[in-house]
Amino acid sequence: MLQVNALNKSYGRRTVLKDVHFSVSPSQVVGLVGENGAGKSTLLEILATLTKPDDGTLSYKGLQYGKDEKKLRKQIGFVPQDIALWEDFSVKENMLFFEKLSWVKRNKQELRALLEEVKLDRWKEKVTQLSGGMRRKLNLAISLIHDPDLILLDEPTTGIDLKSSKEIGSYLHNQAKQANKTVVYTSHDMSEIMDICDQVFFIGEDPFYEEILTASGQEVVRLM
Amino acid sequence: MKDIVITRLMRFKKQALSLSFWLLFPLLMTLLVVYGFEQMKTDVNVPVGVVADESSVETDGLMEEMKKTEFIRLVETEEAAAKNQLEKHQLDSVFKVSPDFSDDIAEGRHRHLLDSYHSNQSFAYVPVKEMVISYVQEDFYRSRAAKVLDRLSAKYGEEGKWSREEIINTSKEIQQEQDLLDVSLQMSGEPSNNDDSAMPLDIWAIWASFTLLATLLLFDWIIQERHAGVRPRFAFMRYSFKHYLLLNGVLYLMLSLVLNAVTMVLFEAVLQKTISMGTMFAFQLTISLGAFLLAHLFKRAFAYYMVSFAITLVIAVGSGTILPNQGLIQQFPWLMQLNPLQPFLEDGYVNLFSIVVVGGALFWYLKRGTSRVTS
Repeated sequence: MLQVNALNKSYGRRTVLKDVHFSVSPSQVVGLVGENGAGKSTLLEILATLTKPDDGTLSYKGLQYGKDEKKLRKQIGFVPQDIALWEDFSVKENMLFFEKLSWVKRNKQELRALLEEVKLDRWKEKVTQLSGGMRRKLNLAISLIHDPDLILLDEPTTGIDLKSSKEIGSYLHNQAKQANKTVVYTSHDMSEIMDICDQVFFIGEDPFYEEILTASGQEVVRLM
Repeated sequence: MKDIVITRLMRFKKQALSLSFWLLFPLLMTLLVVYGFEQMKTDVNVPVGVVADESSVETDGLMEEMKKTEFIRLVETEEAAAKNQLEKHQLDSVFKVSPDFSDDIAEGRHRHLLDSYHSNQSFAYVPVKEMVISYVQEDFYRSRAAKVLDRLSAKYGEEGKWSREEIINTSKEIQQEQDLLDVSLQMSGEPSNNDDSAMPLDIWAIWASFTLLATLLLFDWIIQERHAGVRPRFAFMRYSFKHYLLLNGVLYLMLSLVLNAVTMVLFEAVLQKTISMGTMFAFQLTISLGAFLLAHLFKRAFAYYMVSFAITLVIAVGSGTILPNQGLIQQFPWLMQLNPLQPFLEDGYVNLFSIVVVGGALFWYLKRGTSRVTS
């Protein structure tokens, strides 16, 4: 269970997150929506232990943020919004490189199987020759090499074709339901959010996204 | 560490050409400079022709003296060929030894011992002529001294005790022992400067300057990887980004040390130049740490390259590798303490710069990350 209580975060005088409370159960997929600059990425980075909150308590599976950071990071798979790959490597080289530095040892067959799960079958292809959707899939696969329980994704489907977007969404849904993982991700694609999310959290002041979702019958939880 | 080695080898594969180039750069450039200098020395030596129809001890002695002279390239030739080469300006000047050279010297006749030819482009003729005359005079007066001794021996009833050759040879031996022309003088209390090396270049200083540049440029991977998109991933890896950089820095240091060992062996075998292993290690460690820290200050590789070239130039000049700088160093002796090359060139281990660099590295290692990604 991921639990967040009384979370606050400011950058200078600008308050980004104020008194945020929520909890997410295992095998749930949670979507974070809101306008640009509302604080979605900041919240995701706090959940990923990359940014420290000003106040509040956070825990995952009984591990306390700020205290059990190393143990928490072993449980977290973070997929950054920017593609984080070696551009001069092939798919195979990227997978092998990050496997070598990973907590968990995987052999080549396991790495290929992981790629097949995200529907990427270009083992020897250079990254520079991959389409945007394929790059996103590789970006996701690398973050999951150490088999994390808490998967955090920052706009994982931005700028890619519909087929790749559906494949990534479907994979995340399966991970939550079949492998009992917790998935939290941000997106601007409301149809994708409605398709795969069990819960939707709204951050921000502009009610645009909230209205679209509620009009479609999706229950939305306002975090601030 | 094994995993770091494997991942670094994967990165090396993508940069094999530039990596090999910069690793071999100091060794190759030093050899190039040394052999280039040797070649230049040969090319700038003045070609002087000598025609000697008679072979005698005196003539051969004169030729030997001329051959030993620096900045002269002696060409033994025939008179007609010599004149032809002189006309074509292939020879600066020509000296023809008289057929009666040894008899004239022995008899004390010092007129018409040599004929000389020169052209309107014989720029070195006057100093070469003076030098040749000085050699002839040396032989002439040695012979004359033998004659005087012979006469004195006869006068005092010791005739035949010493032959003329014995007297001349003894005179040459005494000259060589006393080495009158080569004695170097120095002020009381000052160190002697008797460098018997035939090579006026400080090969290790040249090598150290090239090594400094190569090391700085080799460490550009820090800039590229610190600003690569993959950096956030290290928060969720077995190695923090800081440890990843540090261990890779150690790998680069080890690689450089291997190349340095090859250089040591090669320089000793080919150039007869040695240096202690400890000095070499301390030098490479210092400059590698310096490059490692310096690269952290840059966001763009191009700016780093420019600064690296500038630093190398300043340090090479400051060390006297390119130009003599004794005046500057005597005025500001503390400057040498900031020169990373100084301990190496003095066969030492540390100076103020080394201490600053080690302190900087410790500070870098111990300070907590303030960036968004805390690894």
